[in-house]
Amino acid sequence: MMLMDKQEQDTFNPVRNSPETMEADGQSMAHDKKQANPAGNDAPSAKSPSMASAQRNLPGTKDEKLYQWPQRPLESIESAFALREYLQAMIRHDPHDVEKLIALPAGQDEHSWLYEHLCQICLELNYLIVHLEPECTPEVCPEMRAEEWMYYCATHATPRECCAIDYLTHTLDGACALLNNVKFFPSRISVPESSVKNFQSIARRLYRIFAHAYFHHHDIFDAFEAETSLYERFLKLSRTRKMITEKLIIIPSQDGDENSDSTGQRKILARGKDE
Amino acid sequence: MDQFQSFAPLQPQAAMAEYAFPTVLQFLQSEWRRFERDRNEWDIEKSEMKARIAFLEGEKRGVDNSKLDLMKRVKMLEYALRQERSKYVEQQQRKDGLAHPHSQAQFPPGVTPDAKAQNRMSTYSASGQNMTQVSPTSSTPGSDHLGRAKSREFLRVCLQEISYLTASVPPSIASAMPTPSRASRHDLDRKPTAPGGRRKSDYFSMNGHAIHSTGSQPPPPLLSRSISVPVPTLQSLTGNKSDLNNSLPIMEDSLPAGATNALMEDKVEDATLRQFSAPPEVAATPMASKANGHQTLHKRDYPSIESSDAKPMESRTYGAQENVKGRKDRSPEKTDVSSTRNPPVDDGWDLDDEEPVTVVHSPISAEHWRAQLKKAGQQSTKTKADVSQQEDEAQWSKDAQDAFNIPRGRLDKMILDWDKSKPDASNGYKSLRKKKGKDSGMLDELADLTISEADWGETCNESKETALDEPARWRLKVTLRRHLDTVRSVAFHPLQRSILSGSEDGTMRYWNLEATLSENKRASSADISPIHIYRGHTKAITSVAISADRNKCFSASLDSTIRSYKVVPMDREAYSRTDPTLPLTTFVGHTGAVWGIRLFPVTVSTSLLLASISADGSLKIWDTETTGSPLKSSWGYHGQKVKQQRASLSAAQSIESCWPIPTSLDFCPTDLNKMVVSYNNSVVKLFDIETGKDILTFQSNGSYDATTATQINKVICHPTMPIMVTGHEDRYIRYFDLNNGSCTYSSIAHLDSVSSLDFDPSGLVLCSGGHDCSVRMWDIGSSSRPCVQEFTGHRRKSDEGVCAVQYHPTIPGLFATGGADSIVKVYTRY
Repeated sequence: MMLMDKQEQDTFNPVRNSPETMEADGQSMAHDKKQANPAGNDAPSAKSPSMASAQRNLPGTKDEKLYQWPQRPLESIESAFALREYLQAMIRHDPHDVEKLIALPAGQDEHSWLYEHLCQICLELNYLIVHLEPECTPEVCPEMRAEEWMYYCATHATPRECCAIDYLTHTLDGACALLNNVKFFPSRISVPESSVKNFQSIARRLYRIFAHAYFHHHDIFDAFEAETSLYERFLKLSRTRKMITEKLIIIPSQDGDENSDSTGQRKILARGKDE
Repeated sequence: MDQFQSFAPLQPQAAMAEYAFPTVLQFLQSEWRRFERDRNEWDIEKSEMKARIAFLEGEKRGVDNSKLDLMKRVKMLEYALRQERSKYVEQQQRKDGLAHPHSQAQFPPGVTPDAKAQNRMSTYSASGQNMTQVSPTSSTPGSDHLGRAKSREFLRVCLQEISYLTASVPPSIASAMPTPSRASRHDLDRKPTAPGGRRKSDYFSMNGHAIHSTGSQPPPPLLSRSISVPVPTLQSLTGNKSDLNNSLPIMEDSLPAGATNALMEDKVEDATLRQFSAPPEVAATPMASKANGHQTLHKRDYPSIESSDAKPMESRTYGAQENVKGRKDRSPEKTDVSSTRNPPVDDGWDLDDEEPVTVVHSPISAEHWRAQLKKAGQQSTKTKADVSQQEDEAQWSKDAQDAFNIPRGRLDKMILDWDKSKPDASNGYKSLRKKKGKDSGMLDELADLTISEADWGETCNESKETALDEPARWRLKVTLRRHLDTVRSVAFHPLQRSILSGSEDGTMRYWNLEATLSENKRASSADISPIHIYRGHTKAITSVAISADRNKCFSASLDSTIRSYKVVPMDREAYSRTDPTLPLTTFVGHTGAVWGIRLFPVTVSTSLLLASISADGSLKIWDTETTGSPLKSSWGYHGQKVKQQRASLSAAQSIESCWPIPTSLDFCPTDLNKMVVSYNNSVVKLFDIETGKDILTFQSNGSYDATTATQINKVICHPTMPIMVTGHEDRYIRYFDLNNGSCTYSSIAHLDSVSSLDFDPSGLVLCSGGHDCSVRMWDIGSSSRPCVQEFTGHRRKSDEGVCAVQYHPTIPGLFATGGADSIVKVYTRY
């Protein structure tokens, strides 16, 4: 009997396991699986090739072993999120090498790269807000200010005068919502031309989060910057990709950079209230 | 079996080189029989497959046709509107004294050709110049018709072959025969057919008779041919062989009733038609080509009728002889009726093919079953109501026909309109006919079943899908896109339609699904914002939990802490003010990444226990309600006792750091004093919560190879039975007996590692998610644990796919997954 069963499987399995059969006939699914299981048991040692090189944090991974795998070259990452994986791996490797981080990988779409960077910046800004939350309370910062200017929160139907922490979270959530909106960004391979302009508005708003942190919670900003170089990355990215006009840059450069502090500040003072 | 028994003793004989002639002969015979049988099986399967293909192709063509038809109808209505307008203009002109003898068919030249080109009705005006434009349109369905004819013919042959083959296998062999895959697949269908095996052949012969008698009749006149076209459709619709003779004449008459109704209801349509009251001879030809559209459309629109009648057909075991006899006796009378009105060819097809197809092919019957299950046994009464309604309709149609003196061809033509106007018409319909509540209920049902033009394409696809489905399949309902990185954990609110998701982006988001789930759309494309985003962790979140009783939610993170928050109310707006009272407690105590938390399944009045596991090797139990120190107890791999002994040793710390690290945990709902914890050495242990003693070690490390590539990723306990299930990195799912720790079942369940498991609240289905991106549902009620549904859940990122699967603990038909693509997907089962 066993022998016969075996023979049965051998002859029928090629038919049953073919994806067409499975999809075409949903009812047969139960039986397909039943048959497929013992077939799988026949060769438990044959592991799928991906398993050997699986790069993931298994449950129970110790802290020091998290993400401890060699960085793969971009071309070898076979997933829809190749750029993001590549970027995250680079950031984990060295968050301070900003030039290398923002440089466009060879053969990649400029806007997709920008998109991934913005997503990553939003992600990391979450942690900045976590650090700000204990200090930046509605009592301490009842208004959203950066340097001289007060901002209205534009995430609401009519811009509202949110307190700083609300402004920060709303802005970040709004940016996150926009970046995750399939209407504007349906694919990770390419960014529609019409959606590129969104990058500028996202960058402009995100900049204010940094600005508020810098001018009102300087210690936190510095500590966070020392750990992640997030602002530096964001600034360089915005400058090289012309996402923010120079006159909007109000945080004085840390290391006496070219066209920065005083002129930039004066210009912003000359501007009217934003929103 | 037999041949192998005989084969076994043969071996030693062969070794002795004594080939007894009869033995060899017998062996060869048995072998030959076996091969023959195998061949038969293959043939059956092959022909079944072919039949299926042909059937599906036919179905597709039918759908295309009806779609085309509906499009034309739209054009027609537009045309009618134009007509009305021109009439209006005309009247105005008359009033102005410019009495133009405008014929209504005359139009501004810019409009007419366009409208006529696409409107079949306009072609009936039989103006010669337009006929050239018509021919391509009308010929397309015609050729389709031929294609259908071919495929049906082929189907018929296949089915006869099947019935021959199944009948030809002697019962002795058939019983010994291992269940062929196809046969078992169609178990559902075959069971009813088995006692009626002869019934089928009887049926064939009866049909043969029908064909014969129709063939002998003189061909019906053109007009009546066009009238009777939909009739076979309804025959196939009712599909009820026993009632066939009774229902048939009724059905025939009922159709024009619908048409007349449409005529009554749809005045604009009527006006249009009147204007183009073409000679019936002209109308008849395109009409025939339209039959396809009618047939398929009716099939689609009357699933309730179909299914209601299909049930008795399938479930009834015929007393055979006398029943069949009776049917045969009555069949001439039936054929008389049909032959006078039916085109001979159509009749043959439909009687022969449509119904056997319904019997043999699972897709159709699955649809039936599905519909049946939905209607939960109200069928029998409805069937009666159905028949009575049709009788009424028949009477009504006759009256209407007499009253209005409308050519039947046109009535036929308007059947589609009836379908369309039914939702609106049903009210007036009811009052007109003054029927009982039963009837109106059915009408509403029919109205619900009517397919609107806009949904046509989609619905067709859907019904095709459902035809392939199990009675209740999970379907994607909501996609939640807001997270910026892998979603590691999801948790439903135990009572509400809301869900909590924890992601590697360090945030936990709380989503209100109430509004979206109540939408009737199949898959909501709405862009849902979370009603709150919980921030607080400085690293990725690994696990989340939510308690309804305490209105608290918990998140565990790689930053070694567990945080608890107040659950925000469901009506909270997306971008509202920060509420400083939301964060409650931070549980600090672990010295390594916290990889999992689990709430005690039952809330005790004074405490809410939370267990957590960490990469520091320890399991900690926290009392989340206490005002003092929340940490209740903590133990490592060897449990509480051993740890206390070790505490005296100076090297305790270093030894402990070498201990296996817990990877997953779960409380045992069947024994609330115990919990299971899996370790990265592929061992699962059962601990006593109070004492921290390890009670039992499960034999779960069968495939452990001393690396984490074979570790257990997830462990979960059955809600009502002493069963524990593990999901392994090396693709296994294993079932264990909680009482003795033995493995009861083990199988490779995914193509890549199993990342997550959850039990259906009923405890009948286990769901598993894997890094191969698939979600699979396993029927654990069956001893072979077959997979009842599989779907691709998420896209792969960082070698991860589906990271979390979760059933709603109390609301049935709600299920969610979280994946590496940063998306949370919510599925429903209705």
